[in-house]
Amino acid sequence: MTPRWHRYAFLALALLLVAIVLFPIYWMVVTSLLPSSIVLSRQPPLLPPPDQISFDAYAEVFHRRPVVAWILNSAIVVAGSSVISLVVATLAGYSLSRFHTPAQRVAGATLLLSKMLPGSLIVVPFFVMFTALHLTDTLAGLILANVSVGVPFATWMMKGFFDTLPRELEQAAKIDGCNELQALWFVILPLARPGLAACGIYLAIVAWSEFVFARTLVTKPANWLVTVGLQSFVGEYLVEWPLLMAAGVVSLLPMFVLFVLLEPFLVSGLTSGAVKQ
Amino acid sequence: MKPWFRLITALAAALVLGSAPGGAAGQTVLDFPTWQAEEPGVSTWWKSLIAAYEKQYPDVRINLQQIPFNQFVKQMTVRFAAGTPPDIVHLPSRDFASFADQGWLEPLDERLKSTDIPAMWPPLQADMMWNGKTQGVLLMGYGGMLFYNEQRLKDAHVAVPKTPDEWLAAMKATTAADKGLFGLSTITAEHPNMVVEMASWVIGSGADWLKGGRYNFTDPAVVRAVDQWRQSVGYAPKGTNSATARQLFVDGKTAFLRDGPWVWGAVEKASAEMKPSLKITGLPFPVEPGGASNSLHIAAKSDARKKDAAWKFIVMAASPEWQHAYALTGSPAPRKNTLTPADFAAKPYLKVINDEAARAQNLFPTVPAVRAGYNDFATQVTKAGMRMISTQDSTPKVLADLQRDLERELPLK
Amino acid sequence: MTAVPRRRRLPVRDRWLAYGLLAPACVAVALLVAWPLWVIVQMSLRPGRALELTKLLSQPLGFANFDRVLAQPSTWAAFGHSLVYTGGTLVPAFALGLGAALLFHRTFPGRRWLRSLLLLPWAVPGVIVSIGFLWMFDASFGVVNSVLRRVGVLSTDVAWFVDADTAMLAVILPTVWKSFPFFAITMLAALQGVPASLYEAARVDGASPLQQFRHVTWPGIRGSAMLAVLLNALWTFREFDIVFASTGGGPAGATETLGILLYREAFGSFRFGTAAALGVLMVATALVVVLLGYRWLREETR
Repeated sequence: MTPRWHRYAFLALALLLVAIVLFPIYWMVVTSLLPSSIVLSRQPPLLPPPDQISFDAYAEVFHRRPVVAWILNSAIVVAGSSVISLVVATLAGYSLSRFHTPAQRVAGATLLLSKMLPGSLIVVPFFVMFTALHLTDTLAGLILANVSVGVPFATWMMKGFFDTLPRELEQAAKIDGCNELQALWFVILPLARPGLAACGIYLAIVAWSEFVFARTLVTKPANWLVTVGLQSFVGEYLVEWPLLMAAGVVSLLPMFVLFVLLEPFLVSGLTSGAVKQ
Repeated sequence: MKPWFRLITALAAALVLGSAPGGAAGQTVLDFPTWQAEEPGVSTWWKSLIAAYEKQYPDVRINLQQIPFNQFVKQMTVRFAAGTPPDIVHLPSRDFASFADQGWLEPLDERLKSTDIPAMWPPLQADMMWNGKTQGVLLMGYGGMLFYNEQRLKDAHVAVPKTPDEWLAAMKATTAADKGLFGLSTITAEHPNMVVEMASWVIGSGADWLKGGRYNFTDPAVVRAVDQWRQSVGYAPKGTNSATARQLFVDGKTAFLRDGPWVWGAVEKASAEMKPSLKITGLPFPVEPGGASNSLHIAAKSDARKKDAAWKFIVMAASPEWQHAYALTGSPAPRKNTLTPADFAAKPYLKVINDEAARAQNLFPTVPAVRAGYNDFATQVTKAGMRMISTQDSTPKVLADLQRDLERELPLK
Repeated sequence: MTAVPRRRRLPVRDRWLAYGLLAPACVAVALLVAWPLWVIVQMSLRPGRALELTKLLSQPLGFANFDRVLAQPSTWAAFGHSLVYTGGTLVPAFALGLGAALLFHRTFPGRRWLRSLLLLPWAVPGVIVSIGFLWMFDASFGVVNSVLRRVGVLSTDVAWFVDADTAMLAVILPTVWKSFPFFAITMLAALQGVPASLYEAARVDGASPLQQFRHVTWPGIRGSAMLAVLLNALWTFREFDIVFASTGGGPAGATETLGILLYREAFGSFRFGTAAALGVLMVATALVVVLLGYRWLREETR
């Protein structure tokens, strides 16, 4: 057993680390709560003076732009692309894990290829293809674009995860009268839940952060995602830091809530095997 | 198209929320992306122009889209490259030639014949010529303006400058970096408008960095002017782009701002205590630097019906009534004699904006090869500018390197 | 190449199942990865400035784009910047991630919540990261300069993102901040896979904590660590958002990485052909690194 004082020493160390790491986010919040006159000073107060705190910047953000709509758009794209990627990747990952086919090597290469292509270049062929399919300016187009990033990596993760589950499980299920698909559905998938969750969070984070596709494939402000909308505050005529920071904080919140709630799955899911050889 | 392809499309389409607006049957929808849909002042003009247009032509609807300026040209490039250009094309005029050079814009000479635009537009309209054809209608030609904070000048006991040297001295007198106060708001970060700032000093001094169709960066007059620009940057906060530069001026942190007249709309939004101090006047240069700002075009690829509808929109924008409304927003309208003495009496700043626009010399390159490759040119000049801001390298050395790089990257025969 | 162990051919029924399950992924990959890549390779082989793809793709084939890209000094400068940026990000991000993982592998009160908070930067989009850091490191009104002045470290304002000497550091910092959680998570997962019995055995043998790390922990997590480094290296090598939104490659090209240069060629100079050539070269470089890294990784973990 770890001695008691050790545990508190670790706690202190962890608190310090977290404080340093979270300072940029803290500073965004502080800036968003103060008026420009204090923000633009040579000695900005590290703790916001309570009597100066105001939520005006937030009111202004919501008043000026359809931030809620952007967050909803982002949520739709994140949910859509994560679910599609996850379904496709689970099937593929299972196949790659259980059946040795030449496809395996191709799959590995594809994963790496997709990680290497610069998004700012691949967006050009995407734009051509999506225009032909009338998918530009739609969230569906963005979902597909994110699937292109998500599927290869998620397949790899899920294969790694399935590799850790013994094959005897399916053999036992088959003896009980299941066919292969039933074995996958009733036996393997329930056991794969941590891996699915980990993979899902990973996909969600990547899709939520994505910028180049969202910027290029959608032009109508009504269909903008959060990242693009936020950037539009920067490209504006004037830049008011409190406003910009407020917009930033607002666009971070949904993902933070999701992340803090689901983060344990991420570690436990990865522990069970994914992202391993 | 393969059946599964269609299936995917159908499935995807089912997922879409708030998909493309249907539009009544037979209605023409014109796509009109601009960076000005939310700009204080001029956006109101666009919106009322569109409303009037849709009223006059009920079978046409205009889909106005806001795209931030720093993304705008890239976004247009992608759309043209993919073969889906907008129907009403609004471009920063400095980028016009790059687009025209691709054959993306519709020649307008035939259509212009039936209008008074050739007669009533200023000489800057000639900028819209490419390959011997007029390919656009100038929407704004301007002269650069000097915005200043009267209170800050008073506190430092300096007068409104009339020469570049006086201006530099005034910047120095108003700078107190340890208090977070600066003499000048200007672009000190990688930003497309840095070229405009530098060119203002060069053209303003009467020099020319593109003389007789050649790069002329080693000319002592050019070096001197660029060196003055470099001094001025020393009085400005570092790492500012055009938006933060304006914001700092509006917040009273800087004493001077060189910018286009349209910024007046933003300055008028300053806080009540700051607003009375913020003034506008002409730049303290012997030559007034300015140029074509932005222009309207029709995409060569649009179908005939949309081209006609877009042209009607341009004609309406160029009509005396709408030009007058445009000039009242603070941006100089290209049509001659648009503003009346009564307008000047009501809003005196319009007079100085108008006068400066009238005497402005083009600060943008006029050499065709540089116009077609404007972004390459701007990239190199900005690079040299950033080098002068961020290193100790001497100005003549940086400019000599710039001359060499440009001759290699963008040769002028 | 190592010899592929001979496998028995799959029974027909299994083969159907194997490929059936793979089919959706294959469609997605063919449509969304392979086809765009094919277009890019084609673009790279068409010299000329035509931007419209239909026009560009009807031009004669040639290697002029590659000639141009390989000849211009900015390519090599950008390549160097990409290497510095990737290396400069990976080393501290890995160290920080591993350190955090070792700490959070211990038990202490509040661990679950603190861990979630620590990993939060991962969920922050690159665009927002750069806006936040630009503001913190602002020369005149930034909190970092203010604190450094107050402490007495600085007497003048350092323009972190604008000064040629500090700009690379300034873009690396936010990148480290965003990427260390990935290492922390993978290392944490790997640590939990190291059997506790090994530590007990080591302790019985009287191994010091450092020796325990060298002989028990590190061998147990090395495979995952190397894979994480490899994946992250690829990600950082082509990273675009953070640099673009903070310095845009400046000042005077000091932070111009390959991703930024490519973007400038395509959308600034209207040369899709050379941009595509640059992209193909980037992929090729990365591919070489990956193949070398992958082989080494397999030997390491065998």
